[in-house]
Amino acid sequence: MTVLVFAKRLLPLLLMLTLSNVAGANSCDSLNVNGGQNWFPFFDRNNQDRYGILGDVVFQAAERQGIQLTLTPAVSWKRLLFDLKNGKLDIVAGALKTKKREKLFLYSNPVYYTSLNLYVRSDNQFTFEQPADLNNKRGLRIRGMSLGQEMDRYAFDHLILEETTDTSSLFKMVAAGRVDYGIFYLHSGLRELKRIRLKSKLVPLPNPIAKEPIYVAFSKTSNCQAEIQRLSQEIDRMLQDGSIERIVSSYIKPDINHDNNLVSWDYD
Amino acid sequence: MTKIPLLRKSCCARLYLLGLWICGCFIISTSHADELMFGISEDISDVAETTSSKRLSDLFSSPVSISTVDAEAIKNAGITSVAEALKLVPGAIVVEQLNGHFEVYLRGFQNVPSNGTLTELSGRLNLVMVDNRTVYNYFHGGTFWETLPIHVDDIERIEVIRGASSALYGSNAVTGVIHFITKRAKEPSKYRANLTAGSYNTKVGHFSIEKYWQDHAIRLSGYKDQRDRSQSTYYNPGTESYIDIMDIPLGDVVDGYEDPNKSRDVQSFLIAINNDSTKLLHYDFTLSHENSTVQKSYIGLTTPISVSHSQSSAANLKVNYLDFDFRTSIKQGEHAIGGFPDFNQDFKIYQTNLEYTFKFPKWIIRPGLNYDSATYAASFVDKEEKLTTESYLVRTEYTPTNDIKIVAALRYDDYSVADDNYLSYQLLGTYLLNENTLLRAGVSTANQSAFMFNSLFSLEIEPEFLDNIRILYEGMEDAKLAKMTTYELGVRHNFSFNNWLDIEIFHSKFEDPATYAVSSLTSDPPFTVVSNNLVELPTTATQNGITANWQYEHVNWDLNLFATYQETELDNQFRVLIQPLEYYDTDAESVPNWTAGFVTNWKPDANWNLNFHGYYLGDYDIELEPSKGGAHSPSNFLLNMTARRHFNRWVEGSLSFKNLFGNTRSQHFNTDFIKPTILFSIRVNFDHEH
Repeated sequence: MTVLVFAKRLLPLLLMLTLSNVAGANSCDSLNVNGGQNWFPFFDRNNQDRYGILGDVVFQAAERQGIQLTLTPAVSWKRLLFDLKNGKLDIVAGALKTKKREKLFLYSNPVYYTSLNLYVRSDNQFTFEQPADLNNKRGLRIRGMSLGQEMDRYAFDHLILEETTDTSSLFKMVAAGRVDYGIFYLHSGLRELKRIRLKSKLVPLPNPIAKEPIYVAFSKTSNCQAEIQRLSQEIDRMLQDGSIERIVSSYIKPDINHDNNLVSWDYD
Repeated sequence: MTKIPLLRKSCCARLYLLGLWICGCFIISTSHADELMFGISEDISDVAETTSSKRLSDLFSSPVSISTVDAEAIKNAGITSVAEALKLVPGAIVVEQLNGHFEVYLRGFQNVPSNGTLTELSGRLNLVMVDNRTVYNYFHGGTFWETLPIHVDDIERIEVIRGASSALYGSNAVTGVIHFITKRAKEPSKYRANLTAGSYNTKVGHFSIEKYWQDHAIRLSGYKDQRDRSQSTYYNPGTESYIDIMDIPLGDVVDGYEDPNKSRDVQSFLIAINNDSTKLLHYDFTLSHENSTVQKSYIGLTTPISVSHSQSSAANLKVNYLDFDFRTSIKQGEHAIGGFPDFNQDFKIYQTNLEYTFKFPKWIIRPGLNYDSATYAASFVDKEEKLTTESYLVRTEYTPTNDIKIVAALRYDDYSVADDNYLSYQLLGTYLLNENTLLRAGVSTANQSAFMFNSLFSLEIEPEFLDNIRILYEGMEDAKLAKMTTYELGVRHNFSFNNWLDIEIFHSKFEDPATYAVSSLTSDPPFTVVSNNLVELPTTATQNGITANWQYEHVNWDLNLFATYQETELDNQFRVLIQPLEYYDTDAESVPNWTAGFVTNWKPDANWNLNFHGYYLGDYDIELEPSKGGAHSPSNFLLNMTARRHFNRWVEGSLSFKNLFGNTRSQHFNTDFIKPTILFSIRVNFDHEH
């Protein structure tokens, strides 16, 4: 009986907790925005008034349109997309596109490009011009990181590609000689190398292994579709009037190759 | 040839039909699966990982029945001893014998076969490891939990693998593996102290210091754990009641019970030195020492509880260079049972393992060699005896497509004393039905190792409390080793990233146990001589069961519900331990049909954490030899609550209430009545960057 009495008291408490989170859905006075963690220069919450390329683009577009934004607390990437799907979050400043995501989210036009490059020891550089150049080498990537459908298939069939869970380990293992190369985002990687003091030991090879456009993603289930529409149109205008290029150049030095051509491999 | 009764067949069939139905449901529901999180991912944060196939892999895609518990979950639940943490794991039967002292069985099989001796209640069929070092007791079999040189605050995570697993983990992983992975120093330097006090004079203190410089790390920790019992009386089978120790006819043995009120007095330290695991040459060295005196259910001639004294030191070195993995360890010490000088023993245990990993695009092959030796010096083994095992192993992982993974492992154990050498195998397969649903199936075998008590034991005792009785025990060197075969079907399904379900259906067959039985009664005036020798039993135990584990995580709260239902039948169960043995078929009443639990955690704000966890154990009966009697344990639900608060960045406190419903009863074969307890802890954390 005591169990039942207790359970009767506990269940309403859990129900209240659940409902309190549902009740937290936003109004349109301010749109909720968030982005990936540790994803410099695309999204960054470590500076007071600079939020990375995609963050700055969204905040500047909102300012131009007179739309108030609220940066919500850092959460896991999966939680972030879950909230975007359910309308608890209105905007993700920086997301890649998949067929599934396209069904669930609205996307801006491509704002910039992510580039995945091979990081190697500076004394162990090799020529990388096609995937077959990696066939007898050992590589490392972050678990869950896709290289694109075709390259993933090639890697599965032909490459010895191990996985690790964090960026720091990836670079340290390349530096220690446990693997021949590590795959990571070009710009974020260079910043991480500086942080862990391996910039003199590792270099990115010039040819990227994969390149993907990066977008601002909007919730399809948000109550604020009119505001989202205005923001998306403003981002288009910023692409045309050079505002986004200026934001990009404030984050990316000209000596880094960041041409916008997508990578296309011949897998035969 | 034993026939399986129709009822048992139908029970087995029902479980497999249920499994097929569950798998079918998931197949039908695939069109609703959420593929949102897969494909291209920007998620580069932490990923849960395990060593279950001896490689890091996602928990979701692990081919075995596995659960993990991390340091945060242990702290949130107010757990204060390592074995107690296993209450948070599905499929584990955890019983508290005395205040703070627990025994653990994976999927049951305690007291199987029944009607035997008290020693057979030790959890002999689980393999327990600390940082890959086996901590199995090679004298008696089983794990002496108090001798583990670790406190709960030393644990980084616990991995529990259910089911026979000898090919991947070695001998004695008969019902499963419990692997404690301990913490290593991380930047910045840290200083930690934790003091716990509470009911029944419970006083537990733990400290740790972590230093990290360049690529090398050192972590030094130590603890002391003192607790009183919740009662001072002992069960006496003669009167079938709990009475004062002085009223039990024990003769000189009573001198071993120095402090009947004391439950445990345990202390240990642990030093871990390692370098950065990303280095080309990676090393990890631990040195530990423990000293313990506990009362526990063990040996007990006229009461189930004995006083166990242990002192041991252990060193464990792991080295990884490119694809070579090498591990060696030594443990030496002494063990004594209060009042039984014949059981005093000195021991030395060596373990060495070398493995190499060949990597190909779709294949990984990992051959290895293993050498273990256990040397015991004691009167019961004619001064000194040694058990050795040479093992040859190969493990392979083949991924023919993105959706299919096959893990196969073979292990050949050559025991110095057993008659036969043993080949164990595991064949496990997973099929990723879609991004959110994984089906898995496996068949695996395991066997016990030889241990002193069964193989090389030779003892003659004349207990003072038994007039003119001389008892002889004679082990059997070439006795068969008990073995297990497990078949499993499982499905894991992510309803969403924060909502997932794991179901496993299992069928296990346990064979070739052995026990001591009276072989003759002779007269050697003035003594009556009772001769016992080890008997290989034709007993088999067959278990069918299902475990379900559901987890849901919200932003500031989470809930984990789990339950196991199983039925175990015994064929050729013996009646009494007198040769020639008579056999009959029965249900194994000693394994509870139901084990279930829940854990819920709520963080109302950054400073507070509230945790409730409940543990349910169905009723079960343990029946031992006539002189020990039996005990019925009624079903029992234990509810615990822990509130934790950060007062500032250096100090946090917690208050735990255990057994909130006040279900005061003996949880395990006439051991103590476990009463509600309150524990208060204060933790001081100082990080160098502060």
